[in-house]
Amino acid sequence: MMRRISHLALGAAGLAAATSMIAGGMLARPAVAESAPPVVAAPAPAPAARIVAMRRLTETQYRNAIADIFGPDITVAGRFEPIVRPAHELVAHGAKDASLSPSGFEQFDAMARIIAAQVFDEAHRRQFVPCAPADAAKADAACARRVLAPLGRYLFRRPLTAMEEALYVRMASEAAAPTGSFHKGLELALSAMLVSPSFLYVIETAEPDPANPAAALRLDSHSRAARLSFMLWNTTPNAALLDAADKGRLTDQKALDQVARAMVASPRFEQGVRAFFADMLLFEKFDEIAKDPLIYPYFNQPVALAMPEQMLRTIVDHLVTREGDYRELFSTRRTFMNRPLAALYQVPVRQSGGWEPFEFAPGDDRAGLLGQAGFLALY
Amino acid sequence: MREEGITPMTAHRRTFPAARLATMAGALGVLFAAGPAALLAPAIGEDARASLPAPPPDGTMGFVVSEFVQPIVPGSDSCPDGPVLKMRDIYLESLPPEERARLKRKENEKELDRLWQLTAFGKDGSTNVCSQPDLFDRPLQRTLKSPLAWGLDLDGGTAGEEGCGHEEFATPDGQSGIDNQEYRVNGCKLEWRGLDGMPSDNSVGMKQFMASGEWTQVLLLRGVDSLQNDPEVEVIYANTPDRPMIDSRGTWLKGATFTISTTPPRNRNVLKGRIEHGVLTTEPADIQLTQTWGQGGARDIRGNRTKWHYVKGRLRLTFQADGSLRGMLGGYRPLFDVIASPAIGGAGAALTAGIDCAGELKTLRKYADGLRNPKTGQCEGISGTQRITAIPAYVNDVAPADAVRTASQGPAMQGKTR
Repeated sequence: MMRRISHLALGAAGLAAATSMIAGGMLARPAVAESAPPVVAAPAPAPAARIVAMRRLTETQYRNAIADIFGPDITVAGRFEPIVRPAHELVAHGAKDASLSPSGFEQFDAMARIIAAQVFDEAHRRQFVPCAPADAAKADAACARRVLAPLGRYLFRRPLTAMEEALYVRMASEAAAPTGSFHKGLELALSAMLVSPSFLYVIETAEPDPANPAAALRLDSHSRAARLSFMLWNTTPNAALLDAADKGRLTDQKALDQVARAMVASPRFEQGVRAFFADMLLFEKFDEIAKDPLIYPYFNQPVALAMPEQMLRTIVDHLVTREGDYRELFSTRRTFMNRPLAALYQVPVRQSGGWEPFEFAPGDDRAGLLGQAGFLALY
Repeated sequence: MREEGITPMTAHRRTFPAARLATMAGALGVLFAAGPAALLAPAIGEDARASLPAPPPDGTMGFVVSEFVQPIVPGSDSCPDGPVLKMRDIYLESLPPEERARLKRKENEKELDRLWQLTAFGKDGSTNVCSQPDLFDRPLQRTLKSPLAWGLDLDGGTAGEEGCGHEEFATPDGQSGIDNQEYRVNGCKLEWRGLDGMPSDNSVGMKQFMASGEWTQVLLLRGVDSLQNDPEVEVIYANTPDRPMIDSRGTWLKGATFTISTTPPRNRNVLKGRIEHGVLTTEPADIQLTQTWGQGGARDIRGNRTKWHYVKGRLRLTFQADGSLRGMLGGYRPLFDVIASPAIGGAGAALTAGIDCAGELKTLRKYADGLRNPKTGQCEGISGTQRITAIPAYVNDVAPADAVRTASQGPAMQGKTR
């Protein structure tokens, strides 16, 4: 029974997003939306709004979003269907064309259930349920609304529409009856949110530009919030960013500049820099790298794991921490070392575990990003 | 006792969980009782002194010990009477020829097993030859007959007041006055000598212990001005918790970093050394190093912690052209230390590995040549040797005063190496 209801909810969630896209003059649609059975009609978005881009969340973005919204102790367990890198482009570019296969969607569905079950288990529900249901064994639409509306805002990176809100509250209510649990109802509704295209895809919408209403479009505030957050922090917008978007501040160039600078100054900027360079330098190749152990005796699993990390630490240290000249990234003698890598480089480290700053001697061939083991192993 | 078609080890696993642990530890003990079969030439015999490089400018050199085995001198003349007998064979030897022949027949195998295994236990079954070797009067084990052995001259040719008289060995390359009575006692054990040129159980086992990081040892040399001659060098011989880096062929990789252990027992031996003609020698001192038998926690018999303890221990290591050190560790070992591993194994060591711990201890006492007890006049230590190869490494020292702090706060280096 529970499983049937769950499938119903998934279909409804997919449809809600899909219909809103179509009504808005949508471009690409994820495969899942095409096969979703109609259950509830969602209202069309504002007539002038237009979806201009959709990018599937990368695995890291998905994990970061779940950790930021629900906490780092929520386990994300499952296999992510890879996003194909277009030739000579970033994976991030490929994300805009990424669809979902049925098996890929099943994985997201399984992960969603696992996440939702944790969020509303006894250990966590207090953080996310600000109200007490009249009867914990029955539906309570008012309380469910207080739970799901804010969670939906974080997950979809914008406020839920009235239709979406009603849909998810109804799912929670309908599931509470057969399961005899208000919290199981919430769990089901959250699972549906987590497989909605509105969560799995960053959907960017445009609006007429007031400066040139007849001809030009501009990204709306919430799309700007998402783009800023995923570009600079590689995660979903936080409450402050969503608040700024709600107030329309992000369409004001001056305010946008302030917000962007503040985000770059944040420690979380490192996460965005790492994601960008890992993408640009094709770090997915490290997942399948192999060397002949007879020719490269120092190459082993710990070294393979350490090589990309050394490159990213060097980049972040030089560009972010020291605000160094990008060009000097290719000549800097500063880097970081751990024990397995130190053996490969034939240099000492000061501790058995972890990373430590290291500086190559003047004139050392290893100086600069291009001399590092990771770069040479990849290219 | 022994099920048909099932090895003794399997039989124990099925019936006696507690004994199983002992059996496993006993099997490990077998590894310990020996030395390498494939001793080609020890470091002392490999003279690379003519082509030695200059030491590092700061005079600090680090090494990780990649080989730590009991050296043997191969040759059929070493043990003309055959290898040291196992418990089963010792029992058979004690019988009249007719009875021996009867029990050796296939149809009497079960009876023979029952009878010889009984000899491993005391009358009420609560004691055994390995856990309580002092309670058993067993025959002496066969000893080595060859005049050749690897080792060091520990007593300068005279036993003196602190030692006991004994016959000394000569090395195959002509050095005389070699003290290695442990080899005399155990050099005919198959676990030491191996069979038909194959590596012995001990050499294989010790190699594994070293490679797994359980026994990992490092050497840190300070104040080295010359690899040819230097009258004063500080040598720190210690254990490290860091595992060595080894390639796919089992070769130890040079240039890895190791930090001397900060947690007890630290086993950080500080020795005074000198270099003469490319040979590093340290003054006699108490040397203690980590020794574990099997896997598991300290309260688990399989992870029982003992130690390599060399009283008046010293190193004699030769610098090699490839940057490594090769040579010997020698000193006097407390007698019981020599049988520590099978003693930990208890009845399992006697039944599965066939080790007669009581007979071995009795033989060790007979040939003991050091640590004479002034009250009894008996020697309680025996000269022994380990062959060592050490390859270049970076070694982080942690001074004793800082060890407690770093142990609680995580590793940190106090001084660099190599």
